[in-house]
Amino acid sequence: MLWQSVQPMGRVTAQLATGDQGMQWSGPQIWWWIIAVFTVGGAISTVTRRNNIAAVMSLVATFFGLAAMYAMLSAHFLAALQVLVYAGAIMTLFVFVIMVLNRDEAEPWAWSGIFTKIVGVFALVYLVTKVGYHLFGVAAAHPETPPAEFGTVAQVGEVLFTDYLFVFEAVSVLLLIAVVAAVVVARQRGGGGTDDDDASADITTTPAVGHSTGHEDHHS
Amino acid sequence: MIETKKMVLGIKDVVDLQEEDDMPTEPMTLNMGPSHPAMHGTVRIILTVEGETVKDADVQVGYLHRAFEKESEYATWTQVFPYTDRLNYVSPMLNNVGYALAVEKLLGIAEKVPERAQYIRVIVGEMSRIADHLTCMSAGAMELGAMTIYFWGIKAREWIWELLEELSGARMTHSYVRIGGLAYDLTPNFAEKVLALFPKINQVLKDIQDSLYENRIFRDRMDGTGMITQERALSYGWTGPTLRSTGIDYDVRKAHPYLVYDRFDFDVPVGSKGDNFDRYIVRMEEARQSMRILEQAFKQIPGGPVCLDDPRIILPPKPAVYNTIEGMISHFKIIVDGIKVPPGEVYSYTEGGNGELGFYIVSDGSGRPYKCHVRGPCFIITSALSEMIVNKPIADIVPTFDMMNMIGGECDR
Amino acid sequence: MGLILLFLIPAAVFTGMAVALVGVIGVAIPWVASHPWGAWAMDPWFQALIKLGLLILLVVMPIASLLTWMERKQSAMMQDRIGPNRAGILGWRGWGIPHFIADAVKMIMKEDFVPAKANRFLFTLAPLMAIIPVFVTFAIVPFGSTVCPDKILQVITDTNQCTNGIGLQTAKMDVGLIFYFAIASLAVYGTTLAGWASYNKWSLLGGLRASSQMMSYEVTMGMAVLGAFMVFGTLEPQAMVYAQGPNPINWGIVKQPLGAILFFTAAMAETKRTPFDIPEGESEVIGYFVEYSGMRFGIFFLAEFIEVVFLSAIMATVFFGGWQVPFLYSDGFHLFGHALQMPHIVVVILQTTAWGMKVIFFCWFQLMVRWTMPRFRPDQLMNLGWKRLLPISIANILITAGVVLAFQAAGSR
Repeated sequence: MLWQSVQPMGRVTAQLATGDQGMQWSGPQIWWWIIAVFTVGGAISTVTRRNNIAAVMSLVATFFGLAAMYAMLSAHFLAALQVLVYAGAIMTLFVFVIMVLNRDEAEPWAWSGIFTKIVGVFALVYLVTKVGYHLFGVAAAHPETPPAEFGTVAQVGEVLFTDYLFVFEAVSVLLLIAVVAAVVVARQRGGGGTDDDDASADITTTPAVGHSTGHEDHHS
Repeated sequence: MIETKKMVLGIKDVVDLQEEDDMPTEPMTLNMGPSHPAMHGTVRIILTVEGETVKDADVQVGYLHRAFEKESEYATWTQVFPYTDRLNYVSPMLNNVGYALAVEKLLGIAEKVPERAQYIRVIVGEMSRIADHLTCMSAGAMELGAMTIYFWGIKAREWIWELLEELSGARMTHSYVRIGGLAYDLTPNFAEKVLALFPKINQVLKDIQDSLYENRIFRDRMDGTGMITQERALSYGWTGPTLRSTGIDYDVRKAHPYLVYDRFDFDVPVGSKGDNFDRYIVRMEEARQSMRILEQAFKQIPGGPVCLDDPRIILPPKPAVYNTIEGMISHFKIIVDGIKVPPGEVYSYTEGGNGELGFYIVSDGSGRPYKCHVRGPCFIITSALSEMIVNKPIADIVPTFDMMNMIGGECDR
Repeated sequence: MGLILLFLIPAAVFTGMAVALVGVIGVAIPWVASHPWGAWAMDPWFQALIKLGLLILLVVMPIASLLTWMERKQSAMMQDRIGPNRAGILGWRGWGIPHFIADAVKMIMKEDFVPAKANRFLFTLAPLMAIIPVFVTFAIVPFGSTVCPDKILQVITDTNQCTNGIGLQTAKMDVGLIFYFAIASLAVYGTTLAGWASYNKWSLLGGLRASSQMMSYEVTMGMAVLGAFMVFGTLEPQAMVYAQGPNPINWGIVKQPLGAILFFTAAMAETKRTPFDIPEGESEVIGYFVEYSGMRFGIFFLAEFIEVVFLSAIMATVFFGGWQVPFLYSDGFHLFGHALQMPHIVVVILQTTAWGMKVIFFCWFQLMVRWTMPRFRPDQLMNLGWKRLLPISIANILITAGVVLAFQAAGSR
């Protein structure tokens, strides 16, 4: 329900006494903070959970937070797609793969891999300072109501198929290549053995498979 | 080197590193049964699966073991009948008949049993066979998810069981047959009642056929699954509908006629591929053939007694027991000591619901069996299960196991 | 008789619900809002909350509860059984309807069991993840046109004319059905997590099957309605209903017959009921909710029924004119030049009732399929989804696009 228009909430303004400034907080701002904390909390939880499934579920929560953010920015279509594609499809695949593999990963805080961790910490610090620098460099935005058709399906579609047509098509081709490559790789490894079109032909003569230890000895 | 890699890359061991691009689907051990819905509560299969593919299957039977053979040694020859009821509890009459024929063979009276009794034995046996096949077909459909088919089949089975109940007083455990004859004669209008059922049963069979034979989902589940070759089936010792599904027309009723089966005109349906669907249609067709036999039997059945006239084997009539001293003594001797069966051993085999139902009995001349072994067809058929489900999906276990029609009572004894 | 009851009872219940629904939304809310102390009643958030709440409490839950009864009674009819007839309220048996109350009481009273090594948090989360998405998706379903509170008893020709009309739809979102797909795709987590968190290999298999099945069929489901999007030029369900109009010739089923069938099939696979019940497959892997008992299991069960209702609602909305009654315009019936004028409130109630009837019809149809078909095998299901349904749905998109373009070209000339 969060990506309902946030405008009505704007009317509900709350007076939060922050120190002596008496700063006025509007409804969207409160929502923004709630969602921001939710999103960042989910992200932190993702990298700190030891349990794979729990980590994935935290990531799903993060995606929800992001979707809510998009909705607050009136990008409803984007919000819906965020939930559909990331939370609904990709993360489900993650869960699927984790369930199939079901292996324990290296502990996050172990000493092993200290080198990569140091690199990672440096990268994180760099990222945070860089992003933070730019964020604080931006002047406070003027809350303007975007035009009514902003973020609608029609508008996104129009932009996508006119201004960004080449990029859009390039990405589609890239995805197609990825799909074909995945199929090729899977074919090479699995040999297409699970393809059940052939299954009925395969199983006609299978004497004592799986009993190789005892049954077929008399051949030798 | 490994330590360095561990420190640098954070990967626990190098084997991990090398196999990282391989999908390690580790085999999983699954315990299917005995309390698994598809296992009838009586079988346990220890599966080793990779994903959904069965890599190894260890079929373990015996969860319904009741020591039939040992118990028989402590019962008089007549008291074994209730135990045989519980062998293949879906078609108890066939077990009754099989056991009675075995004892009669040892007694040497097989030919002397009155014709009417022989006809009635055929009649109740074939009715039981229809019930057996109906149960197998409908339960097979149910475990594939077609619940409605199950109730249609069970409805028809209940019609038959109601008549058998009328005849014997018990719905499932009939104990109707006796050594040297039968417990009672047919009830009045029995033939009419049975014949009146046939159009209804035929309709049910047609309904089942119509809703399953052309059903893409059903055919996909049954066609080509649970295949077995003639050679493998024979080497396992399969008999009955499951063997006939592979194309071998071995039916004890035709190959070694017993009772009066040589007087009937009936066909032995055979399959061609030996898959689950063949087993299904063989059973369907056999149910129809059984009705054919029944129709002929009701036409040919003669009048007369249903029991051998031999006071050493047959209990005297109740008035004689209560009113005459000879009757009472005879009754007492048969009940307490049992029928005296001459020493020797015999193997007698009949066509049960699932195949050749053999009784191997040994007598030491006393009133109780010295040994009573049952060749339950299910037990032998089930021995091939493991071979038939390996390298197939888990889901294929269900139709394969169902079409074997493993009956716990008969398999585990 | 029984069959008529099967329709009459839900229909009667639904008509009552429709009156209550329209009454509260169209009469009570404006009445409150007309007073100075009740200005908050016109707040869109409050109205949305009321609408969703009423929709769920007055329509979805009763239908879902009645569905449990319909399912039992209908399956009983199909299977020549009597069906539920035991539970009663103060002696009122009511054709077995009180059984759903008895069920609820039973589920709540049962022990709430959590397996020893299960992940408690996710184990608890899973049923919620299953049921919340199906409730939330009802927000986009339009269950009637617009109510004009101040012109209730008048005949009006166009609902767009009236000021402060209340749309009978919880959330009018531009993204429309995309929202449905987004939220419905989350229902996968419920089943998958349930399978994983139960610490049971069978439920893990069930969870794996569920996630692969639901992911695969979501693709077809989305592709199937794309044709409808193109034809109606919108993603928003209410706009779709308006685009279809009261004339059945313009309904989605006429313009998109292939899309309707494909969508219905794929969406049925999403509900995980027979023949697509392989995640549950009670005779194979028993299901992702093996370890669930009591109300936790009940929630999965309920979620399944609500999904059935929701799928029916979407089918009705996208392909069968939603709340449109054939030839009923906003001022009354128009057929072959004749007109029968009706007051606004009657039209609205008729429309809402018609929507309910359509929903009940599709629920009935799903039950029909559920009790007729056997179950797929997982790989066959994947084959159907990826190799048959998906190519056909893509072909459907291409053909539809071509036709739409041709019509546009013809229209512009």
